[in-house]
Amino acid sequence: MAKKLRVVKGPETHSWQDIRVGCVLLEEGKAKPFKPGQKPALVPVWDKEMCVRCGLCYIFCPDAAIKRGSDGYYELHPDTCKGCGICHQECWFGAISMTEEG
Amino acid sequence: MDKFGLYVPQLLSFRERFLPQSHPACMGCGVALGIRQTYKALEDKRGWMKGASWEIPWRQPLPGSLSKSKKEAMEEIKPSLLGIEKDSQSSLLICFDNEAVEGRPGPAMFKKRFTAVAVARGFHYVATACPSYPFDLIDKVQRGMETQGNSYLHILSPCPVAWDFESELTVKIGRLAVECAIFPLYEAVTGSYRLTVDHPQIRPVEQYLKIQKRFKRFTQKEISEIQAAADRDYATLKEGEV
Repeated sequence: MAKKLRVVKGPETHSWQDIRVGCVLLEEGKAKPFKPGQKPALVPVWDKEMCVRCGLCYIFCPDAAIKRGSDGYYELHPDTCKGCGICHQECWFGAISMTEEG
Repeated sequence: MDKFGLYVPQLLSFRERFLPQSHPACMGCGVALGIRQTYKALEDKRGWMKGASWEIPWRQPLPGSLSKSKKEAMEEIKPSLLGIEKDSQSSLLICFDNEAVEGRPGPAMFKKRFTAVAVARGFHYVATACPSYPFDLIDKVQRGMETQGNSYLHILSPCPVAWDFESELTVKIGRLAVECAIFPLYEAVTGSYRLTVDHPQIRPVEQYLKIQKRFKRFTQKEISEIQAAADRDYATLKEGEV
């Protein structure tokens, strides 16, 4: 009986025929649709009463996990956060606290 | 930067060209932070090599280079400094330095030698930057792109694993390195040096050394030697000579 192969599915399924000679990729940003794996232990939570919407947490995030919402406040992009705590450390107003997810 | 207030991050575009999906960095990585801020500066630029998993290509040194000595690592980076000058008419070379190949780093010696090599080879724009000062870094990357001729940028990237500190202190330690004059931020336009961030009060280097566990075996004598060397280097930089 043939062993069932484990297939890793991307946003579209690719086969070996799609691979170019020399493994050359012809498009930029191929990794964009994928998501990193593990969830962090602690994630930042904003206190909207203390936040002044300065954006320091946004510019100091190493994983591009903070995005600007439509109301001007900053919010978490939970897929890419690694829970390093730089935003909590660098917030001038103490508006960010690191809490357990859920 | 003095004329801008607290809200200056709002002036940046919120489009994200940096892809956190495809880098293997640890949490709180200074290199990832530096690359992201570099991408913020290169807003509408395209990479010269199509088909990278990121929109602008980058190259990581081989893992084998980590085990090399300081001299061998120098030998590896030097050809790119020298070769670029020969091959191209206009280029920007950025070195993200997390001090992984240094056994016991002296104050600013290693970094100054790299920028000094670049200046001596006739690079038009040479600068140091740190992701703790994001707008200084973005200005320098843009200036390096605009310069006609070769540019070299040396970026200090704190590493929570190798330097042994908590991941949330990455930005703080980069700032301490500048405030303690261990890693002064300067630029050299056609060979003339100028400090871009000049703190009125320089902190003692002990604050920078004590916060990282990689320096925990330093004796008081060694700390005072580092302090003297940092003071001397900073004074010469301030006068515009190196």
